[in-house]
Amino acid sequence: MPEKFKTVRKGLEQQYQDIKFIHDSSWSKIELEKAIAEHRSKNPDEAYIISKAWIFKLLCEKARIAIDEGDYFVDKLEHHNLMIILKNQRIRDKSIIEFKDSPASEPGVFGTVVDTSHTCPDWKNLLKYGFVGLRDRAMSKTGELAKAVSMVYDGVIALIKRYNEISPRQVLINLSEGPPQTFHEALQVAYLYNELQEMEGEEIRSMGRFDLLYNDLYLADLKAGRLTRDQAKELLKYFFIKFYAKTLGKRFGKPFLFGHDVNELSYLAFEVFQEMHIVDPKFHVRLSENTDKKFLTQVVECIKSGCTSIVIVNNDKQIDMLCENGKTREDAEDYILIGCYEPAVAGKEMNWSGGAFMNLAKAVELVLDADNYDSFDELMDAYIKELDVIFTKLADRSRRQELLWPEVNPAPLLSGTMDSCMEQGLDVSQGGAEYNTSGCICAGIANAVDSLMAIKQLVFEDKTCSIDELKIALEANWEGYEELRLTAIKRVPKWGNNDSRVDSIALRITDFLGERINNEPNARGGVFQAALYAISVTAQTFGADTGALPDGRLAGTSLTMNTGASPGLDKNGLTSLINSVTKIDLAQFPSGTVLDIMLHPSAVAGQEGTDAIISIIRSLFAKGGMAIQFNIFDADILRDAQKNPENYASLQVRVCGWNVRFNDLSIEEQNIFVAKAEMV
Amino acid sequence: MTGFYLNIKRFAVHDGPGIRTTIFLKGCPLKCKWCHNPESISPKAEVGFLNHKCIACGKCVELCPNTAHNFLNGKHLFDRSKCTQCGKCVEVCLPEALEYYGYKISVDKAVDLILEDKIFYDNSGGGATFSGGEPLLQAEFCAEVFKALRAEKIHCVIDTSGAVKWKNFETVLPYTNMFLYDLKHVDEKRHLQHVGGSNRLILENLERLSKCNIPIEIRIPVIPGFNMDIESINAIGETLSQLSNITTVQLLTYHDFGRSKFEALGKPNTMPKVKAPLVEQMSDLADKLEKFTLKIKY
Repeated sequence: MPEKFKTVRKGLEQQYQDIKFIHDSSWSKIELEKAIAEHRSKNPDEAYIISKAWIFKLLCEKARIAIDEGDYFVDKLEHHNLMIILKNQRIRDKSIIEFKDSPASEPGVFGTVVDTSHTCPDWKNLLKYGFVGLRDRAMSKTGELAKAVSMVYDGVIALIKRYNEISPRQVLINLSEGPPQTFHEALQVAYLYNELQEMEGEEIRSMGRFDLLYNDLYLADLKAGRLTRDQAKELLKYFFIKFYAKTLGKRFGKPFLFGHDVNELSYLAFEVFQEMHIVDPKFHVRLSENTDKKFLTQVVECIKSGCTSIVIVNNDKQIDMLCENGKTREDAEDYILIGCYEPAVAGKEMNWSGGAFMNLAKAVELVLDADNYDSFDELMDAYIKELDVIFTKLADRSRRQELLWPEVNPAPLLSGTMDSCMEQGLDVSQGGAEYNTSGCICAGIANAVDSLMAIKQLVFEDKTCSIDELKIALEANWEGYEELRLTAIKRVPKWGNNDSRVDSIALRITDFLGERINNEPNARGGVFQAALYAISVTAQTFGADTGALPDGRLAGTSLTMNTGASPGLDKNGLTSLINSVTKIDLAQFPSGTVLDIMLHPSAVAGQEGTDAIISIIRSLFAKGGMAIQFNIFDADILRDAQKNPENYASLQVRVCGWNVRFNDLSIEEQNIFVAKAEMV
Repeated sequence: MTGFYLNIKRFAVHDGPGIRTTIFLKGCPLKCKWCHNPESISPKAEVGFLNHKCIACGKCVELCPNTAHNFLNGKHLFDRSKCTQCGKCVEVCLPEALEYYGYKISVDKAVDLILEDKIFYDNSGGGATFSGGEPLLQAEFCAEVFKALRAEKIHCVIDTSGAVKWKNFETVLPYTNMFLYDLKHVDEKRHLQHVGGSNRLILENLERLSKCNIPIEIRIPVIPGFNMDIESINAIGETLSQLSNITTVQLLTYHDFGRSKFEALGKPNTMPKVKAPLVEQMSDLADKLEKFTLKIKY
């Protein structure tokens, strides 16, 4: 019987560091690699999906395992990332040939990748059939995919039996024979599956609608007297801590989705989450008009207590948006968020949402470099044309990346969970899912809009400088032009202040993007979908290759993240920021948008503060906002945390798609947060 | 008609219920020593100078028609006696070392601006607040704006020091949903010393207002060395306990954040070296006041 969570928490947090694998008759890395090499040389004509399934099964049967007797769950397999290494090799090899003449990315302008980082299995099927049921379903079918699926699930069952031999547990015996029958068994399925799909090479970016999926089993256990509420909390703590232990807060976290109808498990999970005060996993909430106020209050209290990883999404608007983009209403209602903010139909959609990125701010630089302009309208037309050129290239490259996918990383374990894949005999990489969409992340909206506004005012309206003078100043990275730079920063209206002079520029851009990107066909029988945000990695890598901009930004620095104003420039306050952002028809961005809100702790103290946050969320959503996330900080506290990091080990900030400890941010990133906090 | 204001704050959550837009009107009959908005006291426009932000670019010297700005040995000297508040220097001061306090705003403009955030008021039970300074020095402007806002079902609040003629209250009464009413001390002598005026009018107005059937939230700035002693607090509690329509009493903890603004305005700092009250002292005061069956917030 495992010990109380709080007494062993430290150890559990470190459970993936220096794992003690059992050295019995199972195989070392060299032995595994040798067997794989032999198999592939003996079967040179084998379909790649079958080779992959064979490797998967081999790892399940032969790689070393580790078991912590003091853990409720088993999950450790020494697979040496062999399948991921293989995937990366193949991506590299095939890309060199495919993109020989037309690069997959232009630094700073756009980027495309084979996106294996935004997937979600059909969790409902996993719980309904269990590993055995999914194996049996595959065995009843013919074809390559069915064969590969039955091989990988055979592997999973073999692995469970191996665990059970070392550490006999009823949970494992049951799961080697059928679907999960208890809350504990269901969590064991979820975590083990999560580990194994990532071993196969696809990151899971949604753990599904947690309260909906697991509540029945939880309640049945309570009713049968198999479990108490407190025991369930302990199980959840052992379960959730694994997601933190895996990333230590330094990589993308795993989202769990709650609502919009809530149940006893919704409350229980948030209670546990708040008690754990943890950066991973992250919790997403679907909020509708009807979501219980008591639950929303609990969520907001949780955010106020420092659990800032929570994203709240506008349930009804998300559903409408999905319907407008080709989903049936029934499917749309069962949406999840894959990755950061991207809605997708649970278990039925491969949304490839991180497959392509474009830099809206760089396009300003390109347009200025290309020509001289007699009027702002002329320049604006040229800017829109430039976006069209960039997207056309991006779409072509992204489609080619999609076509590489079956060659580089078929995914039988994942495909085996999806009805549509099994019915059609098509792997997810071949477009086997019911919906096959492709994201196009449009980054740097604030920099683009503020830069265009600066050109408009400084060059064409006030004639503070000529366009040539501005270009020279940008070329010099503003050096020697500090007065002009300050004028651009302080005397030109900025995005995010409910100022129609600048907001109208934003609308021209977003209307174009929605029109141009959405419904452009991709290569898997689906369409592209626009997104309007930039996670910190995108903002930084694009920023590194973007020169000085007319908004006053210096060359090489990070672009502004996400959808809102540049840090510290939403001087008109939170309500104006919301009024600006919701002028955009955010449903034009079906692959996601998000508004970051920074609040001062004094603004949200007490019950009145909780009510204020709820009112902000409700108002944003009434105005068509899709998703919101909060950071609640005092600039003085952040500065003190920079000076005395040891006192702030648990201070967490929401960076974008995931949460990190403030101490783990670079100085540059920390300063962005301080600048934002100073404004509130 | 126009109003003369200092600042407009959106997403204001401390100036009445819910999420509000607060317009701070300029001009105040009192001169509280602890004032943290000294730029709100004068009813005229003012230019503030924040020395630490000055980069000595000299633009203000070039532009000032009255030679109010000068540099002596690299030090920026601002001669306020020559300043006519034309604001030209503020316009060119990009580092924002020079600030302008005091703008005119029309009734229509104020109403439009407040209505931009209507949805936030509706969702939070919020609305609009006039604060200051003393907003009731511009009672007619307040009344005109509130009249238009009430037609849009916006909740309207006046945050007052009470130190104005009763007729100014009468001007806004028909359109005001709630008053935030400052009460600093009931002892007239102490009041005169620290607030720069008698409290007689303030107490009289409060008594009359309490009979108007409009909710009043009392706000007490808690100032060390002025009203934190047991006699002062008991006297305030005693006075309030005899009034009707007092919904809550809000204790406002003194803080010293406004001190640098005195320097910016070229005024002497009237509260040097006073430390903010401790949390325990505040809860102790709250306990004392609760004995007078008052609902206390702090």
